[in-house]
Amino acid sequence: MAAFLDVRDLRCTYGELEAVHGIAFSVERGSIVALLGANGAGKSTSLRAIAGGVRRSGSIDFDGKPLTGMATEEIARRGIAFVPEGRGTLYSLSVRENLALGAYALDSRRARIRYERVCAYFPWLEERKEQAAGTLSGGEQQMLAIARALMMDPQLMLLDEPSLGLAPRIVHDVFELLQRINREDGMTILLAEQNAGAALRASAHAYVLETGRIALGGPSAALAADDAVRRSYLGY
Amino acid sequence: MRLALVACGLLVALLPWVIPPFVTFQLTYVAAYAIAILGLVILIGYSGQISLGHGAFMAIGGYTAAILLAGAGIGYWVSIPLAALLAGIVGIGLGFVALRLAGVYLALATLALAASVPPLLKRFKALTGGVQGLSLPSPHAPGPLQPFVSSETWFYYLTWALAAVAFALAWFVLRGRVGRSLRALRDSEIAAVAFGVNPVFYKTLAFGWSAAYAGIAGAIIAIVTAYASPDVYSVALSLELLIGVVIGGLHSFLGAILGGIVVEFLPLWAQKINPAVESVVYGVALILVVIFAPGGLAGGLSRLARALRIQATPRSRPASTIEAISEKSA
Repeated sequence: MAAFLDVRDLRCTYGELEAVHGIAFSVERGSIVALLGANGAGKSTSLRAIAGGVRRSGSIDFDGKPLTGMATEEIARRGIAFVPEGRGTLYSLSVRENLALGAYALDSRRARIRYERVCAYFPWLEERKEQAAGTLSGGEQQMLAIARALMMDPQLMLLDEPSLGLAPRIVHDVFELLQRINREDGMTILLAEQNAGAALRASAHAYVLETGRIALGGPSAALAADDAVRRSYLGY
Repeated sequence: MRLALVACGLLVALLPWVIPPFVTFQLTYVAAYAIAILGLVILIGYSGQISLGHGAFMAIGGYTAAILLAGAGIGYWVSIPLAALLAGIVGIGLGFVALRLAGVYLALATLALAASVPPLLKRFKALTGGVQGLSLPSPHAPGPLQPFVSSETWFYYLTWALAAVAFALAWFVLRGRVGRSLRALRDSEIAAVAFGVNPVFYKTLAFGWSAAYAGIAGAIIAIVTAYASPDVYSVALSLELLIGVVIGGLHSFLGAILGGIVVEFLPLWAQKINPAVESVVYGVALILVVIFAPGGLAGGLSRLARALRIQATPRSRPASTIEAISEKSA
């Protein structure tokens, strides 16, 4: 049986330049999977390829149906939420309006139900709903971005560098939260991350990308124990 | 807020009875410019796209009205909406170009449009009257009102009524989903698109809508001056509109009206100071606003209002504490 998300021979190009050279990986339903690697390894590009933001070839099957050839909005409607690098905070919009954007494709009744659910994870959102999102701290903006993604009641969440620019303690909080969402909502999560330590602890499976190719892949615990991975990405 | 709106409405309604006819005429221009600048607030402020070419849309609106009125004898009730429609369609076309351009490149493309319209108007003489332009019949009040209302006053009312409709429509549409989608696309297109906001639809909509407002403004100016000529809709007009919206306030409806006042009256005030330095006064005003009131005059006013309110609150708070204490002791 094919995996929940099944990526095969994925190639991504920016103009003339090929950034991802035919990679394959898969994500099981209800799991957390991490794409690791240095800057420019192709992690973000691979995520954006799934969300529909870059020119791509190969096959991406989601829940048994192909995503290739679909526009970004259609992919969103299929239930794939994308949290872009830098959080994609809508600075001048209030917290409430940011969340409303997450429920863009839902009717108002379902949006209200989601709002209740999301506020159960993030009680502080309710208190600060009129605040402009640009005035939140970096960690709060990351939480808001995750909350906004949850608003659309997704089947799969894609997160690009959720730890970017956050203090270590906040990084810990963000990953803990993602694990909680995974556990309690059964959410499938695919994340791209430079912080290999945090990502390996949180994920079940991981792939290491190097210059647009997959160098290694396997259960996160095994990768964390691998000498080469430890030296190159974990630094001990 | 509601009170302020009613007060402004009354002021606009009563002004023509106390000011000289020429000032009434100037205030009609203010309303027309305010409609065009509101279009720029929608385009630049809400959707984050720039246009240095709104004078061209005013030209399209102005000439549409002029040709319909002078050539075909169609009344302005029909020709003003048609002017808006035609300018809007061209605006949507430019909106598609704008999807592929951003920042400086979009600025240049729109500037090119502004620069190419006046020569085109001069060239197609049979339709546009060439360099001489077109003369139109001046607008009169409907028959039974004519003894009471001069034509300036009549068209002043008509223009301000149109402005009220344009502002109300913008307010209703922008406060909901459309406004939120435009602002979301402006703040982070990648995030907005990831949730299903269609960038092609909303960005071209903003361009078309904005251009339609400029078209209305252009038509009003052609009708009120009873004349349309290529020189009225020069590149300078496009730049004046842009300066107007920056000085007035990019994100505010009030800013659009203040911008209209700036576009109409700043050149006149500048000439009073010294006829030779008109553009210098423009430049200095722009620099002062950018430095001291980044949100434009409207932004400055609302900051001032907030500062006054903050000053006012501590004074009321001790009073209520005293009341609370005296209540307790009683």
